[in-house]
Amino acid sequence: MAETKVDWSGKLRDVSWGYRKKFSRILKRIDRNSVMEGEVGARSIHLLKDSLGKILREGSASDVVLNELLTTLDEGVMWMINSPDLLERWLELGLDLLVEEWGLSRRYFRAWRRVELTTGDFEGLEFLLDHFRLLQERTEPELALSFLNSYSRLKEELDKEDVIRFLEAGTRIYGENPETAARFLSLKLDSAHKKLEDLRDSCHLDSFGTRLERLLKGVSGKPLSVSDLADLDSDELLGRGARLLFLADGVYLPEKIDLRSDRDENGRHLLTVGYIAGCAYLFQGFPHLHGSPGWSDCGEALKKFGLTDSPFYRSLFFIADLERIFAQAISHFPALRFRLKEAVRGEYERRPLGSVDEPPLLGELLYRSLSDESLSASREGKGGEGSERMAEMVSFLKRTAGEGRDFMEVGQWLPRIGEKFVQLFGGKEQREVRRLSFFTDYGFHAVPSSPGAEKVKLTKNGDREEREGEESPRNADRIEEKVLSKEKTGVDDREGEKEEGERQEAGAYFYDEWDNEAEDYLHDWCRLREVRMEEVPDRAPPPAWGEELKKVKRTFERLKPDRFQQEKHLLDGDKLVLDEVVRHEVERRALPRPYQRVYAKDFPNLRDIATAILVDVSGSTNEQLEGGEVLELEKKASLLLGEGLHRLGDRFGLFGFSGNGRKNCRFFIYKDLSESWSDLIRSRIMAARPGNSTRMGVAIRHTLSKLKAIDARRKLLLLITDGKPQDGDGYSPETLYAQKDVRKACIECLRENVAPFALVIGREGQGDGDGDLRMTFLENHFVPIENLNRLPQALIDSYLNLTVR
Amino acid sequence: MSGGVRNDHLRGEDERRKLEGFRLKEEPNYIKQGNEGGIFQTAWEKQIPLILKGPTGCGKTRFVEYMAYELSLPLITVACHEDLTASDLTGRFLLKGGETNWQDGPLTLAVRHGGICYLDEIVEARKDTTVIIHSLTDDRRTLYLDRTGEVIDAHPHFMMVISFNPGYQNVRKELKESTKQRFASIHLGHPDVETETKIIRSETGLGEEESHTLAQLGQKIRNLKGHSLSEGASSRLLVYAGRLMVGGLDPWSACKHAITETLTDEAEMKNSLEDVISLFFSPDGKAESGKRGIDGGNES
Repeated sequence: MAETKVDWSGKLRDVSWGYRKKFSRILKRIDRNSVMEGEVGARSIHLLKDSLGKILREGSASDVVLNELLTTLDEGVMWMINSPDLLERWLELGLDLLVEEWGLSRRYFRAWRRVELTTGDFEGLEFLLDHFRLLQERTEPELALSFLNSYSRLKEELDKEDVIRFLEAGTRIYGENPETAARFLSLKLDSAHKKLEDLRDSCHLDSFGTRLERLLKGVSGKPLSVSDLADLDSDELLGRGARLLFLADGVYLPEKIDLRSDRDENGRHLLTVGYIAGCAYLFQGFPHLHGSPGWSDCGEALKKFGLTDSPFYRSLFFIADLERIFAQAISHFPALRFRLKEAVRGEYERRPLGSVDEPPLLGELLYRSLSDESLSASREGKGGEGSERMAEMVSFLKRTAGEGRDFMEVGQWLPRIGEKFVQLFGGKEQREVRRLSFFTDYGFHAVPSSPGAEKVKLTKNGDREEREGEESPRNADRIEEKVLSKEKTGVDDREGEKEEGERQEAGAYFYDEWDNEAEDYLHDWCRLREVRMEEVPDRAPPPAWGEELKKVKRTFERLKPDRFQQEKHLLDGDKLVLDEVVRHEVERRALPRPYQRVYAKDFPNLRDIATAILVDVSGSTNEQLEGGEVLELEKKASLLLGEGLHRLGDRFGLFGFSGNGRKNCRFFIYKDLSESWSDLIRSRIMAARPGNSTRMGVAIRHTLSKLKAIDARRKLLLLITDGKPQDGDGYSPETLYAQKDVRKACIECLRENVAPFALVIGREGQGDGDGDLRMTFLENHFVPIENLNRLPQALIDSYLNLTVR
Repeated sequence: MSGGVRNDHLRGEDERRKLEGFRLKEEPNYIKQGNEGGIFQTAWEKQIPLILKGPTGCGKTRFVEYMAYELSLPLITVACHEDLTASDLTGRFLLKGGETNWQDGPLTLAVRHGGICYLDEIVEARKDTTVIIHSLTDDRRTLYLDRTGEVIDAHPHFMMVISFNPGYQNVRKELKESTKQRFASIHLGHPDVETETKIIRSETGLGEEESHTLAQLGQKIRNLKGHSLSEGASSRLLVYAGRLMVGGLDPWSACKHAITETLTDEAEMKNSLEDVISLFFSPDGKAESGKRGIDGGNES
């Protein structure tokens, strides 16, 4: 029960008389409001009293600061007392500034009157507090205050993601000139307004990426990734002026689309590109192989068609295949007609025929084949002889290559199409047609990495970039040698592997490994050591995760089973069940021994489930995918699920694995099954670092042994991994040895009544579909996560699907 | 014992008449996907019980009804749930007038007089309830009624059929191996486009082209399974969309309310579903007409 009356007079004794009456009035009002909120209000009052005291202790300027604080509460954000957590953070920020300089604190509290948050907009308040804090930490308080002062304007024009982009732009400027940055964030510079406009009107890939991936999957049936064009590190891209690429491994688009005048139009354009790309893959256009071995660009395709690689045939191939794809798209999906026409119209309104550097006839052929104007003009007798020839050319194109099932059939028609062109127009044009704003560039030279790699990253030279921590086959032998040599010298490699914050358990575990070719286990093949993570200070979860953490807690709270569950059909109990009593009475007339179990009783409802969450912390998790760094998202997912399970009361453990050869498998214990959830556990999770290889089988087996050691009616092993199992000394996915070992380990789990389930990040779009996953993790025991951002929610959903719903 | 016990609870014209009420009067509309009919018939002839597996709305129940009609058998369907007891399946004593009558439950009826007993979503029932079917689904083919002390040999025409949706295996709810391995299984997946077109057409009265469009739409939506969609659009939802269209709703709205709003509550996923629907229907409510197959032209 809140205090009904606080004696503020004691607190206000040191306040100068000019402010005393005003403060007293406001504080009484706060009192009245807080009483209505019960315990929540009481906590808020306590926080305010505490803050008041701190401010007053600061000395002569304290009245001024207090005046701003209380006035702001009175005139703007009184509703904040309904959320003591946020109120506390709000006050803390102001008090931190007070310690630095009272003027900053005064400006801080005053600025909140201009913020114009809607009453009860806790989400908006939290967003502001989070980003104020971040900005303050990354730059300086002046910038954070500038942001606060301009927030109301920013909020009118931009959504939250764009506000963050605006702040990032300001942060970048800060790196060069702090004063300019402050003026930028205060919207005092023309460049700031330009940036606002740009953000407001343009469309960003990260806002659309998941939606586009779904669209591609929906249209084509193929899992294809959508990536930033900037991921392709190539001068050729710039040289060719390609604005987007549809390649065998996925679609590459610019991070920002600003071709049209407003965001909606730009978003629509992006979706149109998605539809066209989906159709290009569905109808087996060149994109579905572009970038795979032997198909690095259309020049290689032409050679396969028996033609000389030349700009003329490159252009014809491009025009013919695109026309075919468009025709099939409109035929199969009539509702797309308008979108496709709109895309073509938009392209040629922005860059009319003759306004770009392209061969005139081929350029016109491209335009006519997509827009059909030549056909209608010719029918109407308009345009003259030139127009008739072009119409004939378009018609020939449609009748021949346009009827093909795939780009290969287009290629077979190319020689005749070339001949027809020469026949009608008297020669070949030796330049390539324009790059379109809605379609890929067939001429881009893309060389993929070898099959079985984790993510294709294309470079100009065709070299595959090796990621930090990745074990390439040529390195594996060197590592094996290194490990073995240590053994030979008798050097205890335990200490050599230890990193900061880690405590390696004494002793090691030996596990068999399955050799599918020999159809037998390799006895004691792997040596595994447990590593306990020591507490690492200052490793709390980032504030930006706060909202999701709260949401998860609420979700799992609601799922908590009723404290008691009624058990029926008992011989004795606390209550009678009417149906069963009736049954008893009826049977009593017929049988010597009527039904007796007429009682029911309430028993405490205990979920008897134990879960081990096993996280892949191999070197590849250091990689940045769309959505962020893999390991960071894995940590987030683990933390969120941990919070949820803690609320639900389920038993669980959190573990990680990495390694460096079969004799150096490491098993990280962030939370053992018997440990309680605490800040120590959270710190351990946050301290996880990427390791080396992914010897998955032994990690699964060790986790299984932990689950076997405890009693629970149901046991679950949740594995989070971003790649195929692989390690040195023959543990290779290319021979399927590794996958078969993991599969065996999963079967061993099932035999012990432990249900294994894998969440596999980023495996779609790499051409192997689900087949490899089914082989590795068993049917119905995995889910691919195509978008890294979805990992936390997918982990929670999977857990709930497996154990609650 | 007052009232006495009526000893005609075991047989009688009234029981047989009751069972006749479970016969299907009209042939259910079922379009075969493959040889599932032949497999079912063979299993029945050889007295092998069956599990029907498949996603929701793929036609498991309709298939059983169809086979019951084809084989001229009564079909007794029990929707399983957590509170289902053995008595609910086998029967109980009831008071009628001053007498106590034994009333055969649905399972006993089918066992005694010959019919298909279809337990729908068997995993929802408690394990101690489902074990009573063990003696019926192995070589014994008998049912023991502990209340009456009767052991009933299953009628030669009796068949046990159960259904469930595998999906993500729920750790808490699964079929025991000892139960599962008493059955043969048929997996019914989503039908192919041609079959689904026929289904939609026959169920809704929609034209061939519109039915085909809906079938294609269903296939595209199923491509999104796994992207926050635990199940794709079932044939049932496509039929609902078709019926709404026949009822006068524009195609876009029909798909929105029959499919999008049913499949997901997430705004992002709704956008994605609408993106796929936009392949076939415009948001302005018009169904675009077009030719299927390439004809060398973009005009329609």
